[in-house]
Amino acid sequence: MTPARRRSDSHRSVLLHSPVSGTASAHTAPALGGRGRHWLEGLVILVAYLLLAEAVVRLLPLPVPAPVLGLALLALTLAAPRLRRRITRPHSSLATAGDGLLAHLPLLFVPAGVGVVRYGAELAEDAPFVAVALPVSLVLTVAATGLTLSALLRRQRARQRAEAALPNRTA
Amino acid sequence: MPTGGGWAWLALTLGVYVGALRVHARYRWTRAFPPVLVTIVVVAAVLLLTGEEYEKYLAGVEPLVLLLGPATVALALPLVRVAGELRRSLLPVVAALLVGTIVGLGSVWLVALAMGEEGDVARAMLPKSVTTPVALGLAEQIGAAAPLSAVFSIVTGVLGAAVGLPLLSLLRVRDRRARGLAMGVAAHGIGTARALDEHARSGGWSSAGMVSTALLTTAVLPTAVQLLWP
Repeated sequence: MTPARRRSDSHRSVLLHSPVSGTASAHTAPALGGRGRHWLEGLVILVAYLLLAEAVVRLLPLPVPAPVLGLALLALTLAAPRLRRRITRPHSSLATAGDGLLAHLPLLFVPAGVGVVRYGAELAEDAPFVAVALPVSLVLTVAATGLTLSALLRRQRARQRAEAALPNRTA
Repeated sequence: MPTGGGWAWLALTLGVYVGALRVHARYRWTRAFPPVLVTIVVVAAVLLLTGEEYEKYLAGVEPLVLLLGPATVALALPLVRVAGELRRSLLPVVAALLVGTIVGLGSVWLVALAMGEEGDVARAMLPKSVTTPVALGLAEQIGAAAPLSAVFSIVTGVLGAAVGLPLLSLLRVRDRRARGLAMGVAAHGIGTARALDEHARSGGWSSAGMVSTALLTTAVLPTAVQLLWP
């Protein structure tokens, strides 16, 4: 398999947006060695972090679900600039697997969402509360977050501009 | 894992989702009906019509459930990509995140108090702005029904994706960073998909908002529930 061929394979799984459907190398030997751009390698990294997090959650009494801890551990690892550049390149194995999964993240919520069939009666009973609380809380959350951040960013920019102007005036 | 008829449920779920994606991309008026919502409604309707048990359905679509773990870990990627920009405005981001999360949790609590709602439903609504896989774990920790929390999380995401950006425009929040973070904090992954539609920068900040909301809520909610709502 030539490097060019390998490149087109990883492009294909990016285009398909899902490692599940990314059967790019089904008819050729998967390129796990070499420059390691295969999505499967990225999936192994993700599962390894999940496993590590699961072990930590079992050993320490942390009130954190294992996937969230795995996310935090991976983010901390990638905070090292060299690792970040190597791993978050558009066609690195981790980016291909990760972005592929994230592109269809909503699909993975469907099984949990269908669980609503078991709670139909309870939901109907509390329908007025749900109809008020959920939209009200959502609108307040969007407004509070957006207004706070835009006001604070504007203040930060004004102060930075003032600081940048200061040495010019004294010089 | 799916066996025999179980594959039919996986095929139905994937088929409806892919079909909904196509229709969604083709016609503008379908904007208000995200593929994930369409899929849930159609599959739930088929389950009710055929009288199939939810457990049997769940066994059929287990491959999708399994992928949620690595997908959640993968949320580290968009976060790391805007890490530099975030670090330069760390204090404003942390402040906005705290305000948004407290308002989101507090408003559900206050409406529940005002309406005299003390049942499982209000408790299950608390993690609604948290991305669904995390909301599932959180619900178990605060003694709420996990599937109910998942439904609230999805409905919040869908609703946030529909009204979030117009609302921010109405409030004259034009900074893409603020628009993105607000979408992620309030409407997690589904809101992030909408923010990515608007601009890559909004999308990056939205995923940062989603990830930090998940982490912050996980850190404070179990303790807060124990103190305020035992």
